[in-house]
Amino acid sequence: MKTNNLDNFSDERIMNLLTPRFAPTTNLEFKAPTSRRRTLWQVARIGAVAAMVAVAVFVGISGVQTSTARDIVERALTQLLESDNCLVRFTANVTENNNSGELYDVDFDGTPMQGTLEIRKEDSKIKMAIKWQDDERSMELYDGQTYRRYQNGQLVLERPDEGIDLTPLTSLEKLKPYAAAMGLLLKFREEDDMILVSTRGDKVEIVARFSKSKGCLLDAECSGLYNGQQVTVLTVDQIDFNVPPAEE
Amino acid sequence: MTLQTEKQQLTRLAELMQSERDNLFRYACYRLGSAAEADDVIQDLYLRLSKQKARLTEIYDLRGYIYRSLSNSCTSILRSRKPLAPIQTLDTLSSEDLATTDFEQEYRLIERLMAHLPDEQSEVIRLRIYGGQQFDEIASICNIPLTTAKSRFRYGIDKLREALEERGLI
Repeated sequence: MKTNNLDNFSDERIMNLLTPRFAPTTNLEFKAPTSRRRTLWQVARIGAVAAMVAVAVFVGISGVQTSTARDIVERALTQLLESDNCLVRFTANVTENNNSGELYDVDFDGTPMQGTLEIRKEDSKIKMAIKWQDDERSMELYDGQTYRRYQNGQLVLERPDEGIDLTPLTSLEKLKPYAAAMGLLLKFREEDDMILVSTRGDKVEIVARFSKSKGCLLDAECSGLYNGQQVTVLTVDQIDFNVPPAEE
Repeated sequence: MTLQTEKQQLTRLAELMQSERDNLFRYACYRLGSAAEADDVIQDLYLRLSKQKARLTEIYDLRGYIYRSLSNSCTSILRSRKPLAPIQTLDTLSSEDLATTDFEQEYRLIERLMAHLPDEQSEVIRLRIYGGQQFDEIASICNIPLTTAKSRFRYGIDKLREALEERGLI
């Protein structure tokens, strides 16, 4: 009997030793993807250039979540929300898409091509345009209802397209659960004046660099693992706000 | 299987991952010793399973499948760590080591205790204590009879008790 009591007591001690007292917690959220609209993250996975650039910009702006970086985020977000437009100059490795999707696919084996993405707010709607520096001076427009492709100034393709849903990216509160629901993890680390924000998805990693002192996003890069190496497929070279519309 | 069924299964997967999130996370934390890595491995698992739409519909016990997959992923990560840090045995364990004050110390202690056990016993203990699973659920996850799940847990605790008693630590 004594032995049994001792065993019970000892068992209790073993259980106490094994029972976690300092277990960390997580904020991960899982939600089934909805197919109602194409979302940025879904599009990013299939390599749409526009989405990838937009993701880089918006994630970069919205992804810094530490208390020390909070002010920077708020300032950057305010800058975005108060801007009528945002112009992103980028370089992407692309191959021509022969299907009826976007003009180019981002591709590890692709050819580097420069482009400009313009995100414009008009009456609470967000419109996007990509201008490519290719021989045809291609331009792709998304107005939330239609996708239009112009080459050499001529409309060559038009189809209904709900566009890319930027709604979740208008505030930190919306972005955080949205990214988590899509299975993307936002990570950040600080280096001197820089805050680096990165995402982890199934194929593409996006890293955005922030300036603490300037309180804005400096640049962003999309890369992925290809043939055992991390290959950069898209680089955001410059981001400007409130740029007057160019005459076409 | 229809697309609707696949969609339903994806919804079920998300609901299961959400309802089991804390258990999955704690299990991964105490296998890997890192909250960040635990987050990563669970997200990777979710992404991987989400992409197996068609296969998901063929899985009868999705819950058990999630835990088995997580366990395998953790094992792969631990194996890929280089250089493999040797886990200290219980021979050098002191009473100070038992008084942990943070997660890292706690993890190191639990890792040492678990390393003293055969894998099948430590896995049942981990699923029970860190994964918060009932014995019937553990039996399902490990594909073993309920009595075996219980006895593995019992033998594991006995073995730890004996080891610590021998060393005068309890």
